[in-house]
Amino acid sequence: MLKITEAYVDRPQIRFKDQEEGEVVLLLLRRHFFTNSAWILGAFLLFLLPLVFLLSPYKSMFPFMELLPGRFLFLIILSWYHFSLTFILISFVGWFFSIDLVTDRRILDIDYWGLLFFNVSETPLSNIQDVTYNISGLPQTILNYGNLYIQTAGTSANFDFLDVPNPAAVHDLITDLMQRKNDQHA
Amino acid sequence: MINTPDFVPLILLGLKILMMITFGIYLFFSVIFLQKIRLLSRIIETKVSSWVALCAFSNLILTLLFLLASIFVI
Repeated sequence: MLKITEAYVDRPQIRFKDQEEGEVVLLLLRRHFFTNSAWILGAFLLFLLPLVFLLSPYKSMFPFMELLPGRFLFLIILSWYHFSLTFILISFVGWFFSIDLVTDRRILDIDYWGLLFFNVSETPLSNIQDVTYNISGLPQTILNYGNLYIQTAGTSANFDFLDVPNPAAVHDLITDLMQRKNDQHA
Repeated sequence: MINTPDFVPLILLGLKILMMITFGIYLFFSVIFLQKIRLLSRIIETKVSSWVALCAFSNLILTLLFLLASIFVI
């Protein structure tokens, strides 16, 4: 079962477009869930703001609000919460659908952010030249997540798996797969 | 001296128009968002994708309701 907050899923039960017959998805990666803390905190503040405003003693500083009819104010507050929920949905979708996949034949990098940007890149394992990873900073060291850089041959784009959990294990898996591919070719 | 309540209907009308424009733009982006989710659901097939698509659709309907409310209710 794929949990919605998981960022490191071994052999996930998913399928992707253009998946070949018999191709097995070995690993699904997302940014570590901790990287969502900024927007989660933002959403929490968005939810609190109308309550703080309505219950605060400084309400009298905005005399104009007293002149608004009740249904106007009600609609403004409701739409504020609607915007807040949409903000949560868009932020969650941005995290949930930005994934990196490692299959037994290739790696895929699907990037999605904002409403108008979407990018899919893939490369066969045989194209991978070098894999390096780094863990830097306090949260990354404590929570064991980091960046993985995959250099590919020729003119194809390099792959950056950013803020992925357990980068050492991912590094091991990809280098093992590369080794196996090289052995098959030899 | 200017009597503030004289301006209230005018300000309310301005606010109403502003809300209508905001919800109109918001509705447009909700449609784009739903389309994007549909595209993503086709690329990555998980059980969660259909729930996300349902949320995006509910968001679109809610926005439409808010737009109608800003036109007819207030």
